[in-house]
Amino acid sequence: MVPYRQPSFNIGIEEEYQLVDPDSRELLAYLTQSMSRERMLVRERHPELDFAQRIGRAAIEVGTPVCVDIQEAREELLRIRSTMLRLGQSMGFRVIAAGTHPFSTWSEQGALIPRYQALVEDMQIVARRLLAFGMHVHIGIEDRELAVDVMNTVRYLLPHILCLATSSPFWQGRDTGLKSYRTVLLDALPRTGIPNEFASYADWQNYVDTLMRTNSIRGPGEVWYDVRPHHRFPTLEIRICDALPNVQDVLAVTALIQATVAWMVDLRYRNMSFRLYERTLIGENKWRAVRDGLAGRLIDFGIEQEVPVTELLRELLERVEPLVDRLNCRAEIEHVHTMLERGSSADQQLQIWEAHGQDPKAVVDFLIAETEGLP
Amino acid sequence: MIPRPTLTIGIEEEYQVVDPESRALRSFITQFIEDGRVVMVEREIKPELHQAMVELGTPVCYTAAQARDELIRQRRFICRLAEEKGLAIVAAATHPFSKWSEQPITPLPRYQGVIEEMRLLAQRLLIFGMHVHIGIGDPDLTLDTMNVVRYMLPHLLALSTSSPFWAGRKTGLKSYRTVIFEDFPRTGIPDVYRRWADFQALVRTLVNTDCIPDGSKIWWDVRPHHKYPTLEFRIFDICTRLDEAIAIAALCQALVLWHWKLRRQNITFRVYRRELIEENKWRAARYGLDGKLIDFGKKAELPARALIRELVELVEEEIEELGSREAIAPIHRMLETGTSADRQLRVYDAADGDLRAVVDHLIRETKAGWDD
Repeated sequence: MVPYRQPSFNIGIEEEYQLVDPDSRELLAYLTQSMSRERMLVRERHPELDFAQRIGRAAIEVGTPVCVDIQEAREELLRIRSTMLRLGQSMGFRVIAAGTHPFSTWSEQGALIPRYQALVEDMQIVARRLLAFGMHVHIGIEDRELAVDVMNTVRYLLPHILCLATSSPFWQGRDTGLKSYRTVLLDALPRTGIPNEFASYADWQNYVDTLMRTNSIRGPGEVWYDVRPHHRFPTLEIRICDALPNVQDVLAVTALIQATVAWMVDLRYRNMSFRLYERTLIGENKWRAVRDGLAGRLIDFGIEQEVPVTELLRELLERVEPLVDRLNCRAEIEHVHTMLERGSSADQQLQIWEAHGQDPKAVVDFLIAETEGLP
Repeated sequence: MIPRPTLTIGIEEEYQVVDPESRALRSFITQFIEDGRVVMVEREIKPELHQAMVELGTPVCYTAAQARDELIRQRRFICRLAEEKGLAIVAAATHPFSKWSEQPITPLPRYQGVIEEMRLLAQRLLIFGMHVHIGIGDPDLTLDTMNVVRYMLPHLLALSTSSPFWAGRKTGLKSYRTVIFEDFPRTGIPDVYRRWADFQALVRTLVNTDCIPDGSKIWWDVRPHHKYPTLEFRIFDICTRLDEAIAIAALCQALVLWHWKLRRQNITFRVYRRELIEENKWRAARYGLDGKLIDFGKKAELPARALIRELVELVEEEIEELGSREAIAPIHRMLETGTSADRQLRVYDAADGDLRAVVDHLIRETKAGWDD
C-alpha cells in the first residue's frame, strides 16, 4: 500500500487590491494578483486610465511564488504590497485591500477594456456588479486524495475563519448590517459557497468534467467554492476570506488556515476525522458569520449548542497549538488572539464610520492607512 | 443534545459441558428439561441448540469490577451445577476434538425449527462465544458508535481467540470459531448505517419478507440489541480466563465513552468500509496476536500487539475515568504471553499432541483466578 505523502503545507496568498483616487476616494480600478495566472489581472473604470498598460511590466515582477512557511509568506507579501505602494505613488492612486469599497458604485458606464470582455459576457450583469474582493489562501497538499479528504473535513471550520476575515460591512455607501457583504455578492454566482462532500478525487474530477462537457464552465477554474483542490497547483485553496487591509491580519488568518489544514491531516493520519456535517448545516454557521462576524454565536454541532464564536476560535487555537511550532507560525497565531479582542476589520470600519459621523470617506482613509501601513 | 451513554455492562457466555473422564462434550441441558420446558434451579439457563452448550448472562452491571463479581458468581454457579452431575465446564470457543456431527440436538421445538431452516450449518455451529453489552440509550448514538467500533473489532477478537482446534485437528488458526460462524447469513462486520431509521428500515424489510422473525436473528459482530438499549459486541471467542473476559468488556465500555466524548468535540474515528475491516478480521482469526493488522490511517501493516497497545492508550483517559485500570491490566499480560489459543497450543505441544491434556488445561483455566 502506498501511504499518503506528507503534505508540504506550502503557502500561497492571493490578494485583490483596490486602487482609489486620493481625492475623491472613489474606486478607479482593481487588481487581482493571482497565482494561477502568474500575472496580474487588471480591471479599470475608464480605459483612458490605462493602468493595465502601465502596470503590465511591474505586474510580472509581482507574481506570488509558493512559500515554504508563513515567514517566507510574510516577506513575499511585504514585497508585493510595497511594490503596489510604489506603483501607487508613481501613478497617483492609493491602495486598499478590503472585501468591498465602502461607497463606490461601478455602474454601467464603467467600461471594460476589450481584453476582459469575454469573461464579462459570460457572467453578464453579475460580473459587472461583482466588486467583491477576496483573499485566497493556498496550502500545499500534493496528494490529491488527501486534498479532497481535507476539503471535506475543513468545510466545518470555514465559517469560523470567515468571522476573523470579515472586512465588507459597507456597500455603495450603506451600512449593510452585515460584516461580510462580499460573501453575499459572491454567493450569487453559481458554484460558490460551502461545497458538498466529495467521496474521492475521482468524484471531484467527475463533477468538474461533467460541468465541462455540458458547457457549464470553460475551465476548472470556474468552480468557485469556498474551498477547492486547485486545478493547476498541488494545493487546497481556501477562498472564503474577505481581502484584509492589515498585513498582520492577513498573516494571522493564513497561519490559522495552514494550522487548521495541518490539524485535519494529523487527525487523518491518526485514523481520526473531524466530523462531517451536511452542507446545509454548515451553511447556517456561514450565514451567522456573514451577519455577525466575531460578535456572533456559531452552532457547535457536536454538542448542539450555540457558542460565542470567539470562544470557538479560542478552542480551535488550542486544538492547533501542538502544530504551531512545527509550522513555525507562533507569532502569527498569537495575533489571532489580538484580533479576537480587537474585532475584525469590519468591526473597526464600523467604529470609524460611527466616530466620523457616518462618513464613508473616513472609512476609506482608515483602509488606506491600514493597507499602506506596512510594518 | 446527545445524552451521555449509560455505559452499563452485561456479559453473556456460552459454555461447553464436558465429561471429565472422556474429556468429550456431554449432553447436559436435557437433564433440566421436563415436558418440553427447561426447569430451572436458581437462575435462568438458556438452552442452546447443542445439548452440550449452555448460555448464561450476567445482570446489568455498572462497573467492570461489578461485572467481574457477577461473572464469578455465574461461572461458580454453572461449574457447581455441572459438577453435581459429574461433569465439568470449559470456556473455549471450540472443543478440541468432539465432533459436531455426533452431537445431539436439544429436543425443544424451536431448535428443530432451526435445523429445518439452517440444515447442516446449524449442526456445525458447535462454537462458543462471548457477547458484551454496553449500555448506550440514544438509538442514533448507538449506530454512530457501532459504525466506529467496527474498526476495533479485529483487535478485540485477536485478544479473545480461544479456538485453535476443530474436531481433533490443529486448524492453524487462532479463532476457528470465526470461520465456522461466518457460514451463517447476517454475520460478520456490518455495513455502515448512518441513522437509526436506516437500520430500522433494513430490519423491517427482513421481517416483512420472512427472512427473520425479529432483529435477534441479525448476528453481526456488533449490533444494536433488538430489545435492550445496548450495543452488543459479539465478535469474541469466549475467553477461558475470566479476568481476560472482564478486560475485554472494560475495553469495550471505555471505547463507547471515548467515542461519545470525541463526538462532543466534533471529532470521530474514521469509518472504514466493511471489506477493509474484514481483512483485519481475517488476520486476527488467523494469527491472533502474532500477526500484523493494517492501520488504515497510516496505510501500513503493523504488528497486532503494537496496534492493540495503541488502542489501549487511546482510551487511557476513559479507562481511568471509569475506574477500570485494574480490570484492563490482563491485556498487558496477554500482549506478553498470549491468549487462550496460544496457551492451548503450548499445552498441546508439551503433551505431544494429546488433546485430552488441552481439555484438562481448559477445565482448570476456566476457573483460574476465582477458584484456585
